[in-house]
Amino acid sequence: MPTDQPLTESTFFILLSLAPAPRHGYAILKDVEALSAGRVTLSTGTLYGALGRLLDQGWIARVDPDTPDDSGRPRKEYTLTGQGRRILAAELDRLETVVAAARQRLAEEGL
Amino acid sequence: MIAQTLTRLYACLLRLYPRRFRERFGDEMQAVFADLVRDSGSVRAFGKELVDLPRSVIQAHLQERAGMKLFDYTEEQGIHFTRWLTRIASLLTSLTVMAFVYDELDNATNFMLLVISLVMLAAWRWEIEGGKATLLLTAVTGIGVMAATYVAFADEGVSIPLRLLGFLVGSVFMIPWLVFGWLFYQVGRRSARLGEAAG
Repeated sequence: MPTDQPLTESTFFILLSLAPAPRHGYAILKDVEALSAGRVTLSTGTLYGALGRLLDQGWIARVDPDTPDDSGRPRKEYTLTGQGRRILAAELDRLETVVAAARQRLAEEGL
Repeated sequence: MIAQTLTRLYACLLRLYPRRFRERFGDEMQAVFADLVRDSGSVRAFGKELVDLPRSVIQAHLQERAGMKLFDYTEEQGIHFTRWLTRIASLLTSLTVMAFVYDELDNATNFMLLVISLVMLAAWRWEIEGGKATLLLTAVTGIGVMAATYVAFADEGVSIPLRLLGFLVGSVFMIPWLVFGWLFYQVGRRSARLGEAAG
């Protein structure tokens, strides 16, 4: 695994957005906003900066769909790689551990 | 008309990114921006991009030149960066202008410049209100300067093309303050929205 650090919110939500199926940039942007309940809204610069880094790290891959979208533009889609899926799973495990520890401590304190 | 203009302006702003980054993502970014304009409205979409632009452009150049992994920042950090960039740039601009005009504050334009500078200082604390007030005062002052220039030129019998040139100079003079006012307003609005989303 190339990372021992927690993922940032934007990276986490981008990977999560790509978990079910490949998506193009605009779909990722809207999905991240929905997944985070409006807390994380990415600009195009932030989105493609993050996508570029994730591509370089090999956590996601670019797929070129055969057919253009409704507007006639060819859309590049992005998909999680095996490595990206493992990173996402590891982050979920880490978050679950953190939440479990917090809940246990609060339960001990009767809160 | 506004959507077309802002879309063209967005395409121009993309040139601030490193060439390799543009070649890699430029077309896609324009396509996503077009979708944002369609769904959110051109002004809102452009405002969002403008607020994040300084940080994302600098990050892209750092990434390109030094291979630094700095893209992972939250929206709050992006807003915070733009906030301080706007504060410092507006303060430096105001101080520079004041250094030239401080002994001629009986002149109406110079006095208004002082007022606008003070309002921009207030925008450090009240960003939305200060941003709006800066935009309004700058627009009023700019229109006043343009009208006064036009009338003065007319009195001196200056030709119409030159009078229009005076108009153009007046509008150029307004641009930095309009940009600062707009940025303060957008930063304040986005901070408020993030605060609401966080509950």
